[in-house]
Amino acid sequence: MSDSAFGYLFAGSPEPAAISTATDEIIDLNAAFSRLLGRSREDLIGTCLTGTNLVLRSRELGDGHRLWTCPPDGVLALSEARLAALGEATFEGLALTRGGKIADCNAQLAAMWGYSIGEIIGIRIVELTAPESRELVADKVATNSEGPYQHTGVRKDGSRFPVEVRARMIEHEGSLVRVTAVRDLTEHQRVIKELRARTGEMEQFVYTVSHDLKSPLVTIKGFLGAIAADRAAGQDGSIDRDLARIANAADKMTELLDDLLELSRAGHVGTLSARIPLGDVARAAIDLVAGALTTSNATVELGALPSITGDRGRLTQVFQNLIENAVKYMGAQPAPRIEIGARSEGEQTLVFVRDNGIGLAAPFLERIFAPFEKLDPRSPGTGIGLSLVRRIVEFHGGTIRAESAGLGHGTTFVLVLPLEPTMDA
Amino acid sequence: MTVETQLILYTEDNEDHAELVMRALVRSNDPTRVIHLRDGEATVAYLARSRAGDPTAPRPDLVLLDLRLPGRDGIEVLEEIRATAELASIPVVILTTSAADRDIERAYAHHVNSYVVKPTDFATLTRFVQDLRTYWTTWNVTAR
Repeated sequence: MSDSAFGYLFAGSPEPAAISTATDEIIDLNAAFSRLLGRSREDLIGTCLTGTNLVLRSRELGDGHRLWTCPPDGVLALSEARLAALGEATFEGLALTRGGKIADCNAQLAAMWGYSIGEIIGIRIVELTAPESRELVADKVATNSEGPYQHTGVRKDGSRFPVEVRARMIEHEGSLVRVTAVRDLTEHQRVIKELRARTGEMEQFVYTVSHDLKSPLVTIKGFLGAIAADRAAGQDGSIDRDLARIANAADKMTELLDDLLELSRAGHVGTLSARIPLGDVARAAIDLVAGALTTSNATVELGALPSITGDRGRLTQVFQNLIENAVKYMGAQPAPRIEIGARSEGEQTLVFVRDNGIGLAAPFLERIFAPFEKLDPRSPGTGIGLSLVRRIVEFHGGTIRAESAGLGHGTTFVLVLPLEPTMDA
Repeated sequence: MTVETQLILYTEDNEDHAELVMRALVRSNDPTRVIHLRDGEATVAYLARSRAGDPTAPRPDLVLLDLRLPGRDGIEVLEEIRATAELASIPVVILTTSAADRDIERAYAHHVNSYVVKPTDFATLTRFVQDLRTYWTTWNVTAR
């Protein structure tokens, strides 16, 4: 065969072919070979033939070069290798099932169920499914249903997790196999649960706010009507008092609206600074409420407090509100005392603000944090203080709770904050 | 024949709202007596005294309750009334600013006789108070 005839056949052959040096380095290739590997001719020349997933046939060309051709089963080997690589690259679990058993799968699917690939192959699908989902899954498999549908999986260790499944029936080696893609819904469901909780909180908030804004409105409209009725009857004995009630109710509404705005702002904490000494923050708060402390004759003991990362202004608000709250609910205590300090509990450091005031009955330990919830409706303020405190603390990644041994036993507010290890006095 | 004076036990923590209801009653030249209490605890305590036969705490013909009260709220007072055999048949009407479904459902689940959202208009409030008195202390019949 002449060189040109060979060249013609080589270039035009539908069968992938390449020519290499004795050391398997590619010096020429045809278009089919380039297509097979998905790389350009220029890209491939100079590269080494070993290391590909191809099953190749080769023969000596006599000039020290070798001719490589790729039979159809070699092409199949490549596409399977490529498929396997793709399968491993997805985030989903992929499984090939046949006769109700796992015939093949990717590493993600095995990991989702806590098995190795070797262990999971051959396992019956029912064994990977929670009892309550077995009927559903069996039905989907039996009817070749393509989904998507959700069910509960059971891991090797017996733990359960929610999954979403999509399936396709494909022809493979003359028989119908089921290819299943599985997505772990654990994180998805956690987010949904959190969103539901937030929505619930928001509904509760709107409910409370609408009641508290409507109440002064009833007063305003009611007394306006009463004044009109009195004037119609030629009486004006209580008009001044009624006007004062109307003015007070309007002030109350203004105060409520201002506090609402303040509460919504608490969610947008400003600049976060590292290592804010809470001792300094508490001292600043004590200065801000010095007037109320003097009037009520209350003493404040400030112990060693840690430093944290946070918004200094907002943290000052936390201590200011807690101290004001302690002063407000001192009752008839002859020696009002407020203690601020920190203590360790297991892995956590807790900051506490403790008073020896009137204390709290158990049902109120949680209720007092709701917006506009007040222990004594006649006490000053709108009842926003502790909701504000909780919001700020939660923004800092912490929690706050109230503890009390009951009425007459004082109250302790406990803040669990993500702390930095240094303690300062 | 003397007409027995009817007694309404009214629990309301908002002084302004209580004043409005009392004035509405006065305006209707109503002979009904009203005892105004400010929270749930005081209401439960009054009813306990009444049940024990205390002459200073006569049995009310109607309990008019606000829903949101400091301490024990209106529903808790309602629960207490319904759970006490001697009090269970006293009609209870909730008078509140809340028109929320959850409050209405909760009240009826605890066997309230009627649920009324506080009218904001004084003339309407006056008419409501008159209707309330007429219906519950004139037409309505309860077991003693």
